[in-house]
Amino acid sequence: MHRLRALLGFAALLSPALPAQAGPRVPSVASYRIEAAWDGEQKTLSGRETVTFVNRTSRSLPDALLHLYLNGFRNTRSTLSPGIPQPEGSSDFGFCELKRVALPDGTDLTRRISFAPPAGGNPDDRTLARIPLPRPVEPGETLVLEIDFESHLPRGTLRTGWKDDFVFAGQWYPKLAKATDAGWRGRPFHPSTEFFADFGDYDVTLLLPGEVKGRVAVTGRVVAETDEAAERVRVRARAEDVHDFAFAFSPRFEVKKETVAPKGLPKVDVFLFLQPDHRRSRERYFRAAREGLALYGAWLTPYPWPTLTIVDPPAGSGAEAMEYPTLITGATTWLSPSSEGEPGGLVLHELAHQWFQGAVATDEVSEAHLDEGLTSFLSARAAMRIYGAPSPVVEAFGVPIPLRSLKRPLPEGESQDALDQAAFSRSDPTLRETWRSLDDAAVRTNAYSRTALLLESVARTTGEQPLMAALKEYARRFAFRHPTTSDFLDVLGEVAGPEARDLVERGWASAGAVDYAVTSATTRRSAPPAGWVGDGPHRVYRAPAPPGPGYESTVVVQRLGEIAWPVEVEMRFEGGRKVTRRWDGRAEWRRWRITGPRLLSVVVDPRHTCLLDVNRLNDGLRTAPEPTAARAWAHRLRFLTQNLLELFALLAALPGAAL
Amino acid sequence: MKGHALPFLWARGLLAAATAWKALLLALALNAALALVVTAPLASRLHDLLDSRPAADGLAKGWDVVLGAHLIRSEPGLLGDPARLGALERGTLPLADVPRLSGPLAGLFAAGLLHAALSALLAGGFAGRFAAERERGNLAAFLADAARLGLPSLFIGLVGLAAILGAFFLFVELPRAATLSPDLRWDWERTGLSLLRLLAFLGTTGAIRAVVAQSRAALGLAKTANPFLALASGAGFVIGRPVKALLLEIAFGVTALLPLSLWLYFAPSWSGGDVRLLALLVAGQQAVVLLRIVARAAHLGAATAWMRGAREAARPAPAKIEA
Ligand SMILES: [Zn+2]
Repeated sequence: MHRLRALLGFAALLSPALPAQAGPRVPSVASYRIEAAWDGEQKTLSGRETVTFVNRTSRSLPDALLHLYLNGFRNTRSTLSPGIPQPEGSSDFGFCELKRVALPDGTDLTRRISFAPPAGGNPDDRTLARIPLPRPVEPGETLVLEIDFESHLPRGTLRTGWKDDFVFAGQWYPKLAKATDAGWRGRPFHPSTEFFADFGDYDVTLLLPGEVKGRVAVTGRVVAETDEAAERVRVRARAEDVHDFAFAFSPRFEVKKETVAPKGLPKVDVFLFLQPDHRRSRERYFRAAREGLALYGAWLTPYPWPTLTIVDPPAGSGAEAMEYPTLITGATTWLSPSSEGEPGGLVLHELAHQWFQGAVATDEVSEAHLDEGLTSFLSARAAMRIYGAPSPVVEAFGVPIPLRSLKRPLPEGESQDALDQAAFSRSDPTLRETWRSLDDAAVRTNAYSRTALLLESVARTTGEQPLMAALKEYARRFAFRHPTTSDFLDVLGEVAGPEARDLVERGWASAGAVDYAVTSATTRRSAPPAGWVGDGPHRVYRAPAPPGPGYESTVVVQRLGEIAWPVEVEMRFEGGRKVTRRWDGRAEWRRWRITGPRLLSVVVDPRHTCLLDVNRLNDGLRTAPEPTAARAWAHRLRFLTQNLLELFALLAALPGAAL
Repeated sequence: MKGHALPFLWARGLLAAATAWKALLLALALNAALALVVTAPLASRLHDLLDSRPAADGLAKGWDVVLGAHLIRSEPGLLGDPARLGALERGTLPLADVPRLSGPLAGLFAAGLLHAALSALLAGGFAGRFAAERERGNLAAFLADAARLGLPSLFIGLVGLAAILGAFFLFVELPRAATLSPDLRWDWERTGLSLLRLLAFLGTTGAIRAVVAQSRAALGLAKTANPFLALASGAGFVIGRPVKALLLEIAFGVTALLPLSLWLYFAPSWSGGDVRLLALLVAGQQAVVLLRIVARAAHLGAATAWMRGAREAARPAPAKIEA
């Protein structure tokens, strides 16, 4: 722990001056030296990799487990297949084939390879290969594997592939599963989950068409480019302290570089690989990178690497909106409206991934909320601060039209799917292993929107500062490590307090909803007591008297959702008096009786601290109806209908207007 | 012929429409009454949902995206069948499913068809009056014309509708996948092809509606109420002067939509309080809708004047014998 902190501090001191020589900060576990050549006709990358694995677990490993992610595209029987668009031809398929696997002494392991899926898994899936070793790798020992492989990239879909002369290579090489104290941890490539791997160093040499010289985007940094025979170029790239390596190239990329040095933070070289028809987004990309690096650097830790590469893919390439260590992809179109913060909002999201999963390398296959959720929460905050609430954009005939009169505050404006999921489907709690979730909607809402809403609600309930401090400590403590949900919760409890921890745990443990409703609010003039009063000789009869000037009001608030949340209940009275009561929200219902002026209305959670409440309409009740809103809408709807009827008359039967 | 220049036709159409002001008010009353009836159930449902809820304050001034999502979630069937509504929003609702939307949207659809049919019947009246030499503003004569020419006019309208739906499938639906294909390299290709789809559809629709207008004009001018003959002469007329027919269509389109656009842009929004403002706004809105109806009728008026003029010009002038 202490040593890591010292290393981090040392690296932070060094990296502004000597970014390329900062050196590894964590002991490497899985390092790769890869040489591969691209065949543009066949869309294949063939080559050799040398994997150097150091067993830093406490367990002896009798075999090696390799991800062959591209085999997810191999045929329609793979586990990945349901998640990708219906294939139309051979170019929609891809594969990764192990030609030869051997030890450095020449021992050939190729014949030992098996594709046995996990128990009960899909027997046709070939995305996980097991290679029994002649001798187990004991803790502390090093295993070196020499692997010859051929990777065929599909037409771009799901983060990898090609479109025209644009190539994005993600998950393209045989890659070790994650070594843990419980053995190898690896799942078949699943349509709605991502990745998990050990840190290491990458030294990658690519033989590419000569026309892409200077236009190759990589994880880490290109260290050399040399011309080769037959109009080819040899590109060598290096990356340290990363757990994956992706690259992209296109002869049409416009490459821009900007060195960003947020105040008090190390310098970062930002490379942008832009489509020529997206030129007007150039400054938007850089602005998001600049401001994002400054904000996250202040909120979390300094950006941990000396380079950041942004790839702007062509529309429909399947490479949009993805994160790899030090390399992210954006998405924009030539007419993308400038005011809505795109592609900035997206860049902020992918950039936040550099911390949450790039450096704090959690298991995306089982605990996607730890990367997507934290990232969605942080990028929503960053986007609101930089751009303000975006407007929805509708696209008609290829032209995006922002609806400027509408605003979608983040995160709630883009997270309503999580509330629909909590209200209607309720299929999976967030804490269920991501890959076990019922469907993609469950994965998306739990990992992204529900967690973003949950964290924002915690910030508003138990305090923004403590939560942000907890995130900072979590990012610092677990940089270049592999924490789990309980590690996160421990830091949260330690720094932000037990209530914050408890609330996050409640939100993650249940698939259900938060829903508080004011179910009754009555107010009537209070009358003095009537009937027999007093005992024995003092017993007197008081006749029922007309009510006095004061009022007696009764309010009932019910918890209709499974999840309890501490709430305020605000009661407004005639004359402007306001009474606020706090309730821990745990019981099924709570009743208040108050005497005083006439009660006008009651609202539970008036400041919208809990964004997980699935029904904000029932959050309040008036004692007397107020028809203005419904009247205003009836009025608008009538005029709209008159005009729609007129449109019908035009389309269906009459000559006239509207061309 | 100078009297057939576009601005003259446009003005003559408007003048013709102005003489038939009683019939136009009748059309407006029909439109307003239908709108009132079709929105009544939704309006009363909104009162049930919102009147006792303080959160509704956030909806009084205009739409709130987040609150709106909460409203729909608490009342998924508010506008109609939620699954079909979702498909409609995504643009994947099969046309055959539109009548099964249920709820207010289904009501709107039915009212739309009814309104279209009634408008077609009234168009028969307008065609008859605009072709007449006298009594153009006479409401009784208008209704008699509507009774005589209404059904043929409705038939012409149905043929127009079928043609427009056909154009929609041909130009909008069929090439949709091709214009959104990921194989297109540049964004502008995609946008350009999509706009081309739209333009093809709009151009065809404009032509179809010009044919409908001229056919109705022919119906009014003819001695018999034969819709087939009218369609044939309308189509022949437009084919002979396609550019001018389209320009006339566009001129009246702008006439109809300009007031609406200005209104949507500048008119204040009523948030349910001030009754005097409401009265003013309702009056303004009715004026806007009336102008749309006027533009429709004026187009027919212009079409009639144009056709009549063209026929007169084609008739050989009586030879002058010089002594
Ligand atoms: Zn993400």
